[in-house]
Amino acid sequence: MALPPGYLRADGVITAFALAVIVFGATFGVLARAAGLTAPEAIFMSVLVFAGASQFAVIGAISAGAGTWVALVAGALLNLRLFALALAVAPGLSKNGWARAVQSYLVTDETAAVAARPDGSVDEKRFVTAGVWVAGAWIVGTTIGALGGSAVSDPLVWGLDAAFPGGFLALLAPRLLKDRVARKVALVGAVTCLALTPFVPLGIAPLVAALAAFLAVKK
Amino acid sequence: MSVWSLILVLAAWTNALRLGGAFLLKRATVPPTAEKVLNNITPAVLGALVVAGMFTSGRDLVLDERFFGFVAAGAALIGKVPPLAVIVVAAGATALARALT
Repeated sequence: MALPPGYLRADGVITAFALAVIVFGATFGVLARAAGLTAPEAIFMSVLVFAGASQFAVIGAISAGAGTWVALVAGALLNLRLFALALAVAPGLSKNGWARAVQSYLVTDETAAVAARPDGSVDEKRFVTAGVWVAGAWIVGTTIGALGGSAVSDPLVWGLDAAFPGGFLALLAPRLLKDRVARKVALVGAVTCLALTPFVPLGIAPLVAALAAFLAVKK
Repeated sequence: MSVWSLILVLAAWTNALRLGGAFLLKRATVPPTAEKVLNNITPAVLGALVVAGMFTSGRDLVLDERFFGFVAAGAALIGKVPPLAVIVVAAGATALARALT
């Protein structure tokens, strides 16, 4: 089953992520229109790509006057880390090939964070629940922004940009408290990301940071 | 390249990355060392995303109002509040700092 029973029941964290994602989706919709995309283009981009940071990068590049090729490369680089996150959640996905393929569409920062159990295993049901809510929120938000225009409020006023890293920290904390290796890995990943960010194209730093996972095999 | 081509190519690329990660090791029996690495990808990436989300803007390292959100979230975690409250506190402290500056 691609959708485990009871998959629509969202908990507090999933609800919070979904609400913040709606607001960012609306912002994306507004900015996409401002960058010259049509409403169907903005909405289908959210449906087909479903990766917020890369979509913002694409319309940012377009509105800065860059060509579509430059915009594409900017967006493509930002999504490289999704490969690492898909590898990480893979053990928890459905054993059925088709269901697994459908579920893989739901791999995002938020869903990988929500699905991670403190013991390092992956919770398939929470992954799918978070995925359905976050994807729905992203698409609905984009539609509101792309069609509704300027009535949308600024997510930064509500501090929603801090909601995601705050949530990732909260979801990571139980594992960090009990797992010394994961603690070291997360710390090295964080330091690597900060150290590299000024020197590499956007999207590369978190990908290189993923390599910190190899520290787990050393004593 | 038209915008529609951009959307389709980016969608194909993004979902190929997701599919690749989801299926790469599906059939293989993974040795215990590799399993340890896979088990630690999430902390590595989330650790990176926490600091990227709090302390970077584009390719610049920045210390802005989100710093207060980060500190407040840390304090909330030490106070053992549930994750939802940590999110609210992180956003609230950041919003408050923005309103006051």
